[in-house]
Formats: sequence, C-alpha cells, structure tokens
Amino acid sequence: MNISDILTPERTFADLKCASKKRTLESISHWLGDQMSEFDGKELFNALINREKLGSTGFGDGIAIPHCRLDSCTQVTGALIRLAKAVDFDAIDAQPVDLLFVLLVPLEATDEHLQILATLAGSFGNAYARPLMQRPCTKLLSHKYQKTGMLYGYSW
Amino acid sequence: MIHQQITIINKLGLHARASAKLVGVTSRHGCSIEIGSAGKMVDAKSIMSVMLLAAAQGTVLDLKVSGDGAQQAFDEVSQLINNYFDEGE
Repeated sequence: MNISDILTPERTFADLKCASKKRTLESISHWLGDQMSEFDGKELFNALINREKLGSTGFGDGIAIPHCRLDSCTQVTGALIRLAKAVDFDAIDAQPVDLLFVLLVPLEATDEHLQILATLAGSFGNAYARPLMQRPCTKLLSHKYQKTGMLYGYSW
Repeated sequence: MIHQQITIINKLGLHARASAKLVGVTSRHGCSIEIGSAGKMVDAKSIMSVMLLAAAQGTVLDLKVSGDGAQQAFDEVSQLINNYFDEGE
C-alpha cells in the first residue's frame, strides 16, 4: 500500500495553530468531520483521545500517528498535519510533536493496518522526508490549497 | 549472544501499542537487542523500526540479544510477546 492510496491533498494541513494535545486532536477531528460526511467530529475526537489514554502515539522525533478503529470507517483514511508550533504530546521521547499523521481504520482491517503503519514508519523514518515536510511551503499546488494540500506535493 | 526465534501470537500483531510496549521493555536494558527476520533485522529499541516489520499474528521473528544483562532482557521480551502483549488475545 502507498501513502497516496490513503492521503489526498484535501486531507493535509500546514501550520495548524493549536495550544495543546487535546486541542490539536479536537481541531483535526472537527476538520475531518466537516470534510467527510461518514465521520462525526465529536465521535472521532473521542475515539482518538481514548486511544491516547492507552499510551501516547507520539513515537519520537516530533512525530505522532494518532489512530483509531471506527465503525463508520469503510476504508483506511489518512490525514497529514503540520503544526505551527510543536505541542507536548506525552511522546515516548518526551519531545514535543509538530507533525501528525492521523489514521482512521475499519474495525477489522488488522493486516492492512499493520502494513500502513509500516509504510508510515518507513516514510517518517526516512531521513529525507522530514526536512522536506518542514520546508517553508512556498510552492502551492494550487490556490485552492493555500492552507490544505501544502504538504502533499512534498512529502512522499 | 542469545539468538532465538519467537512467534508473534497476539491477534493484532506488532501494531503501534504492542510496538510501544516492546520498546518500553527493551529500552530499559543497556544491551543490544535486535528483532526481525533474515535480512531485515531492526533495533528493537526504536518504535518506528519495530513497526516497519509489520509482523502479523503467526509471524516468526528472530530475536538477537547481546551484551550485559542479555539473558534478563531476552526473558523479559519473550515474556511480553508470549503473554500476548498483555492484550488477552
């Protein structure tokens, strides 16, 4: 599976302004809920927060992969968000997080879930990917994506 | 050096939370711990590396531990994996 199978330009967001982990997940949840009729922002937020309670998805080096399994999810859906300023995320290395890949997974997609986690780990672990994603977003894909979509063209 | 094979038996495999638990155990030890399969051994103290394995239920992995306290580290890692990462299934 490729990242481009689960990520669209509309589901990327550069320089989101949030003051805390909770606010970050809340903003992202409502943003995705507004975009995709199958997801309810509040339900999404609750699912993501509940997952974080089991252990932070801040996996180190400023990267988090918040994820959850959802009844309403019929195919693996991703969103890539860069924060304007890193926030405390209870990360495994205690470093603040500024890059998030949100992953929504159908209830039963166990193997697919593992494959996509591996792909994400490979991409984020790639020494080239991260500087590219942190680069000032001067080249926009189009006017439509002045806020959303900025990260898409650079990332994978 | 201890080198043994171990089977991932929990239902969800080495997903993010299980990987985090594994790293929680391995990072407490000073010895070198690698996990994976022939040709793809990774640092068992790096969660991103462990997730790269995409090890599903039933996957047989090599576990290589060397250095001070290797036996203790090996025992703790084996126990975690064989105890279904405390997930109950």
